[in-house]
Amino acid sequence: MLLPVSHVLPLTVIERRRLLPVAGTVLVRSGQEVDATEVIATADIYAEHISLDIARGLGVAKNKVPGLLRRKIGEEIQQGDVIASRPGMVTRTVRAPKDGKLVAVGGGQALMQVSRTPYKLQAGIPGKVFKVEADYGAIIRMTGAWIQGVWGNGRLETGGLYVAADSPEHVVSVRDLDPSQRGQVMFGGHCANGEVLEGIYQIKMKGLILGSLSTRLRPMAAQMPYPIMVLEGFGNIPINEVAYILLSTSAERSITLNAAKYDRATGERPEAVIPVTGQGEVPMPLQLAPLDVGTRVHILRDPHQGRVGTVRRILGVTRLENGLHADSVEVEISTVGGEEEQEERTVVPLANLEVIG
Amino acid sequence: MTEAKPFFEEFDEIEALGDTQENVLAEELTAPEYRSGSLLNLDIGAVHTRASLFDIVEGRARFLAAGRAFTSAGSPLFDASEGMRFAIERVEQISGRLLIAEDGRPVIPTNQQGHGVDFMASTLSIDPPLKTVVVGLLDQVSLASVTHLAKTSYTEVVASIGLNNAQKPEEYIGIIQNTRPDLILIAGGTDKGATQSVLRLVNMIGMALYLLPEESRPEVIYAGNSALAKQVERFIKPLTTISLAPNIRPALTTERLGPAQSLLMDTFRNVHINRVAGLGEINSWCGNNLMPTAHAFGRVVRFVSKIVPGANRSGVLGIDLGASSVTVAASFDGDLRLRVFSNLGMGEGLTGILEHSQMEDVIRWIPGEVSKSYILDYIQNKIIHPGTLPVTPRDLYLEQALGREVLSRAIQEALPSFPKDAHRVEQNTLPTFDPIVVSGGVLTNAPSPAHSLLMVLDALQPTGIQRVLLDTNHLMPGLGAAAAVVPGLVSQLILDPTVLLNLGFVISPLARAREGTAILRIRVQYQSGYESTVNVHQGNVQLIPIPTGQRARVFIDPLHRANIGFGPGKGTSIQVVGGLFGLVVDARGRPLKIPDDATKRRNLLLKWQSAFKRPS
Repeated sequence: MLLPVSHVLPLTVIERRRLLPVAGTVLVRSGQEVDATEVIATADIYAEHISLDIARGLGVAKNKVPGLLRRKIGEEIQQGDVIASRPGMVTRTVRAPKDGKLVAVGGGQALMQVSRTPYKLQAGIPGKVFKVEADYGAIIRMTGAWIQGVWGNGRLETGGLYVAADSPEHVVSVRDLDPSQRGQVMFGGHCANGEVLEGIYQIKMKGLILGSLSTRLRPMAAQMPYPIMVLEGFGNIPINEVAYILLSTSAERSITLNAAKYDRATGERPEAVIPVTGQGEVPMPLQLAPLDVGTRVHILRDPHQGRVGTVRRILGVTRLENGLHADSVEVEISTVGGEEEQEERTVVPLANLEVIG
Repeated sequence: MTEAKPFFEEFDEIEALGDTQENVLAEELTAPEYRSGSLLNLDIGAVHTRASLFDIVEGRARFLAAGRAFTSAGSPLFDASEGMRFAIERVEQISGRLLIAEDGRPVIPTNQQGHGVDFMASTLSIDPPLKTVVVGLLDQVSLASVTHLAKTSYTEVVASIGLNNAQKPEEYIGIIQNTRPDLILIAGGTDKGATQSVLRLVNMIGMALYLLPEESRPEVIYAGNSALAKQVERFIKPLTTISLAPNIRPALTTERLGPAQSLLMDTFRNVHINRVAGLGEINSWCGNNLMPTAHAFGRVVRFVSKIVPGANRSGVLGIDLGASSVTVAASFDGDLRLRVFSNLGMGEGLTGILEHSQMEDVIRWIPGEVSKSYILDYIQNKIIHPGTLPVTPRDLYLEQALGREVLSRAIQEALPSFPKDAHRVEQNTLPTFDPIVVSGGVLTNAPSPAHSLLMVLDALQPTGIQRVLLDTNHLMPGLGAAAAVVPGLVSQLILDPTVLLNLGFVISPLARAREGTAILRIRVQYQSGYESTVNVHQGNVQLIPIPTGQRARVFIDPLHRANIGFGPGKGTSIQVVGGLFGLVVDARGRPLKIPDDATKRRNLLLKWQSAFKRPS
C-alpha cells in the first residue's frame, strides 16, 4: 500500500512552477539566480470593463461600425481619444471615457478595459531559473531543507530563523517576543494567544511557523500581513519531532516561508525552505511511499496526533477502541519523559497515517 | 458536572436480531432473469477509489468482492490509475481472479481461464467541483432553474448573472475573468418568450470568452429559449465548446432539467479527463460512460422507485454522504429530483457546517461533555485530513454528530426541490419515502448498524412507514453506471442483500399526546402462527423482533389519533419481511425535542441508543 508523504527533509531538490494567471511579461532568464520574493513575471489584470455603444453613438447600423473605428484592438487609449468617428457634414465621434485599452468590437459595440492592476509573480523559493515558460512564468529549482505545513495565510517572506520553541510542546507567549529579532522568522509551538500574533507584527518580524493554532485565532492569523504556517493542525498539538529537530537546529539560517493556502486540487501546500548547497547527487523527494514494517510515519489524528513513530506490525482490519473496524498497523512511538525515553506501541488506522521524510 | 460516561460501552455491543442478513426486497420482488456476464465497478471518489466485482453464481447475480485504495487522481500524482490499480489488486486477492493484465489494462472479456470481466463501469466524484457561472433572466424563473441545474452535479456556483443583478452588463465580463469558471450555464426565455434580453446576455458572455486565453475558456451549455439555440451556437462556437439542451424553462411554470443534466454530466467528465491522467483510459474501458457518481446514484434511486411496490404513493429517497459533497436523490414514481451539495460533506464539505450551522446543532447530538473549541479544532483538522478516522469514543460521537448535522442540512436544503403534492403524514414534515437508501463512510463504517440507523432517523426524522436500506459497500453508484450496459445484471444486484442491507421497517407516528401515553397498538402475526401485541408510548423508540427473512403481518392501530400516514387515528396492516432490526417504532415525535441541559440530553440520547440493545 502506498501512503501520502509529508515532506520534512534536511536536503532535497525543490522545484516550483510559477505561472501568471494571464499572459504577461517574464522578467527572468534561464539559469538566473533569484530570491524567493523577487518578481519573476508581471501582467496587467483588468478588473473593470466599459462597453461603448458605437453604433448608437455614430447613428449607424451595427455592421458599419468596424469600418468607422479609428483605433485598433489592443491599443492603449487615453481618456478623450476618438475611438470611432463618422465623417459627414456633421462629424460624429465616440471618445474614450477613461484611460484603458480597446479589447473587443462586436454587435455595434466596443469594449474597453479600464483600471489596470499590475500583477507581480514572485519566485516563491530562492534558487535558479530552471526553465522559462514564455509569457507566463518559470520553473525555479533549488536544493535545501524542506518542511511542509497544513495551513497557511497566503503570504511569503524570507528572513533568518529565530527558534522560540524549546520543545515540541512549547506554547508561544508574549515572553517569546524579542524586539531584537526584528526581520526574523519565528519558530514557535502552539499558539492560543492573539497578542502573540499582534506582537510579531508590532516588532516587525518576518513570519511565524507554528506547530498548531487555536481555531478561534484562525481568522486573525489569516489577516496578519506576515506569513504564518501551521505544521500539524488546529488545537494544541505537539510539533512532530522530525520537523522540530530540523527547525530547532537551523537557528539563524535564512528561511523562506511560503505560507500558501493548502489547495488539495493543485497540491499546493504551505512550506518553508532553507537553502543548502548539496554535495554530490541530491535526492529527489518521494510523492508516495510504500508502507511496511520499519516505515517512519506521522500520526494525523488523536490519540498521539502529531507524533512520529515506526511501523512495527501490519495488523489488517482491527477493532479500534471506539468500536470501528479499520485497516491498521501497530506503531511504536517514543515518549521523552524527563531524561528517560520510553517507547509505546499503539494501534493506528492506515487512514490516519502519512509517511514522513 | 456529571461524569462523562463512555458512550459506546452501552452502544457497541448491539447485535442484529436475526442470524442472517436477508433483504426484504429480495423477498418481495422477482428480478428479471440474467444469466451471463461479470461486472467490474470502479468508483473514484474524492478520498477513496473503490473497486467491486459482480458475477453470476448459481444462476443469480452476486456481489463477490470489493477493494479500496486512496484516490490518486489529485495531488501529488494527478493520475487516477494508481488508485484504481491498488483497489483492483485488492479485489484480485479476494476473488482469486486476474482482472488487470500486465500492460495495466483490464482483462475484458472473461477469458477461458476464468480471469477478467465482461463489463466495466465507473463513476467519478473527485475534487474540485466545476466552477460554474449561471446565467438567466429573472431570479425566480430561468435563473432559478439554471441554478437548480447546476446543483444536480458537482458544481460550485461562483457567479450568478441575471437581469435583476445590480451590475452593469459589462461588469459580467470582469466577473467571468476573475472567477475563471470551468463552465457557463445559460438559460433564459421561455419557448416563444424573450429573445433580445437573452441575446444581450449571450453577447456579453461571448465578449468575456473572447478576452480569456483560449486554453482557459470555459465550456458553455445553452438551455434557454429554444428558438435562439442555433443563433447562440453560431456566436459561441468559434470561441469555445458549446452544447445545446432543450429549454430547461419552456414555460413559466415548467422546469425540465433532464436533457441538460446529461450534458452537464458530459462536461464534468470531459473537464476531469482533460485534467487528470488515467481517466481517459478508464472512460474508454467503460464504453465512454464514466459517470459522475451523483448521476449514477440518482439513476439507481429512480430505478428502485420503479420496481418497489408502493413507491408510487411514497417516494424513494437516496442519500450519499461523501467527504466533499452530499447527494440527495428523491424519486417519485420515476420522477427524479437530484441535488448535489458540494458545500456539505464529512471532509472539506464541513466548511458548509462551519459557515451555516450553529454549534448547538452539533452539540445536541453528543451525549458527553465536549468543549466548543474541541469541536471547532476537530472540524478544521477533518477538513485538512478528510480521509482520517476517529479512534477515541469521544471523536466517534463527534464524527457521528457532524454526520447527523450534515445529513439534516442536506435534506432541509433539498426539500424545496421535492414535488409540492408529494405525500406527507402532516404538512411541514418530510414526504413519505419507502425505502430510504443511505450510503457514505460515516454511516457504513459505524461500529454497528444500530449507529447507522439511529443517525438516519435522527437526521432525517422520517414519518410514516418505511424500510431503511444501507449501501454497505458503496455499490449503488456503480450499479447506476452499469445500468446502461447490463440492466439485467443490475436489476438482480439491486435485490441482493449484500448490496443493500435492510436495517428494518421503521414506523414513525405523529401524535399530539403526552410523553408516555400509548399511541400505537401493534399486533404482529408471525409465520409460525404466534401472535404478539405491543403498545408503543409517545417518546420511545421500540424494537419489535421479526426474525430476519421471516414474513409477518403487522396490524397497526393508532391510539389518541396518532397518524402513521393514513390520517389521524387510521390504522393499517402491512406485510413485513424481517430486516436486521425487525420492526422499529420511532415514537419520539417530530421534530425531535432534545434538551439543552447536558445531563438531561445525555440521558435522553442514551435512552434512545439503549432501545437498540438486544432484549435480554
